Order: sequence, then structure tokens, then C-alpha cells
Amino acid sequence: MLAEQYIRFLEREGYEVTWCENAQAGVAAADELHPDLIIVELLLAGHSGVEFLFEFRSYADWLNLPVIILSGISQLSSGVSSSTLLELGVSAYLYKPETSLEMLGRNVRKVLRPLQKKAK
Amino acid sequence: MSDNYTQSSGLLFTTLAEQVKLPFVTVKHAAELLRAHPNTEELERLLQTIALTSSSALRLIDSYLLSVSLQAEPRLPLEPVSLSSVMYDAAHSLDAYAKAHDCEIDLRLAGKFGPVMARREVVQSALESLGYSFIDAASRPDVHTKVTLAVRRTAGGTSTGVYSEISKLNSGLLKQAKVLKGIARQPLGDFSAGSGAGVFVADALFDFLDSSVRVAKFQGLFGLAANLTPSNQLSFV
Repeated sequence: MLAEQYIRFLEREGYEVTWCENAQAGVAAADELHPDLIIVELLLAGHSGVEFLFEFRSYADWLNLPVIILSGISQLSSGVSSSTLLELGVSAYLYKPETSLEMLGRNVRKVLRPLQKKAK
Repeated sequence: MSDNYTQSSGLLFTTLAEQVKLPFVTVKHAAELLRAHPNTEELERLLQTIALTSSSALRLIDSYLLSVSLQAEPRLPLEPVSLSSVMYDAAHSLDAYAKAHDCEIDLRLAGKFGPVMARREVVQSALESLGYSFIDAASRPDVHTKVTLAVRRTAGGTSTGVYSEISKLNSGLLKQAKVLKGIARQPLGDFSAGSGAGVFVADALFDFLDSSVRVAKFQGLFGLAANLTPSNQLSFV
């Protein structure tokens, strides 16, 4: 239900959204769809979101693709340091209990704005 | 009260707290969407989301509290319980939540099995806790899924459990998860992205019936089940 809420909200904001159930599907979908932004949950079934991001960043094509972490675990509890986030090129770390849909929308717009300007 | 009990209870509480955070987020977002679009055609769906998500979280909390209150009893007196009746009620309770997740509850009660020695409310709470976990784990946006509640006879008694097509459930995973309960964020990583609280609460409840949650298979499906002792007295009736 929660994933559906994020999908519906972002679609209502005008974005095309693809949901992937695990890291493997995420890599495959990125390869096929060439997204402008990836939103990652750290608590992925069977795979850590951080491992996924390290793997993801190892591909030259996705080195600069914007990433937002949207997680049910806070950054402090996750043990992921700010320097690791920087190294992974994470644009924002959003903790689900503290993040409203409006705040998610604001962060997505902020991350995508440079791309939109570039496209114009 | 032993240190082991206090520690185990604390870890179970941690998994529960971790799990119930997300239903609260779901309700919060639903309220936000209702405020932003008060006349939305999705009004009915959002209200249903709030009601069902709250109910599932409350049910999990109730099951946990039941396990805590049973700790105070020196020995839970067991009585003959009809599993088909309990499973029917559990399936009925899970039905609305399942439908909201585009999931179908499938009840399999075929075969001969008599009453078991248990406590009705304990078995039902445990099955519902497992059921909610399986619905959450199996559901995918825009994909129809099925969760099966089944009873079958085994060499050691009667097995009652919850099954789905999630194939990564195995004994090693469950054994490791029981050790990692309340410590790791995803003790049942290959099964559920959450804390797996429903599984551990069910395990704690089945423990009062001298049983435990085990990995089981049913007609090609993968699941978690508990073996209960048949009531010999009534099997002759």
C-alpha cells in the first residue's frame, strides 16, 4: 500500500513511475528504461540498498544518474555515513516516517530541475 | 522473570515497533492525499486504506499483547479446538486487507483431521499475524497474488499454516531469522523487507501451544506452519 501511495502521488505530479521489487529488477529496469531518477529503499528484500547502489554506480552509464534514498530506516540507524552517501552520489536521504508526500515531491523536483533546464 | 525472557520479549517488542512504523506512514500519507484532494474520486479507496492499515497494525499489536499476557500464566490450559473453524475465521479477518493488496485468500481445508489441543484465540491470532506478513510480502503493485491458509495431517499431528509462491523461504533462513530477531533490520531478508514481526509474534504464540513456526510446503507452495497435537479424546467421537 505504501509503495502504491508513492507511485500514485508521483504519477499525479506528472512523472512516469516504474516500481521494481528488488535490486536485480531495478538494474534490469534501469537498463531498459533509462530513467532520469532512481528512488531507492535501503531495506530491499534479499539485498541491501547500499550494495545495490555500489553495484549500480559501477556501471559507467549510471555514474551520474540522480538517486534519492527513501527508507523506513533513518540514516543514523542505517549506519550509512554521510561520506558514503556522498561517494554514492545520493542527492537526498529521506526517512519515510518524517517525509510527507509533498516533501518527496519537492525533493524530486529539485533533483530533476537541472535536467529539465538542460532539456530546454 | 528470567533475564532470557526479558531479553527475548524486548527483541520481540523491537521487531514489532519497527513493523508498525510503516502502517502509520501509510495512514499519514493517506490523510495528506485526502487533505490535498478532498473531492478526489479516490476518497473511498483512501478511507479504506486508512481503515485496513490501522486494523492490520492493531491486530499485530493485539497478538503481541496476547503473547505478553500469556507469559504471566504458569501453564496455558489447552482444550480441543476445531482448526477448520479457526482457519475460516482467520481467512475471513484477512480477506479485506488481502483484497486491498490485490491478493486473494485461498482456504484449503480438505482432508480428514480432527480437533487439536490448543486455544482458539491463540491459534487465530498466530494465523492472522502470519497472514498479514504473507500478504505484505507477496503483494506487488498491479500484480494479483494469492495467499493460502491450509491444514494438513502430518506424522506428528496436524499442521496449520500460511503459504504463498515466495520460494525463498527455507529452514536455514528461518533459523537464522530467529537468531537475528530484533537485532537485524531484515531478519527474514529473502522473504520480507520488513522486520518480520508477524512471523515472530506467531512463533511466540505457537510456543504457548508447545509448537513453533516451521518452514513447510503445501501443494507446491512455500510457507510457515505449526504442528499441533490432535485431541485423542474427541477423535473417537
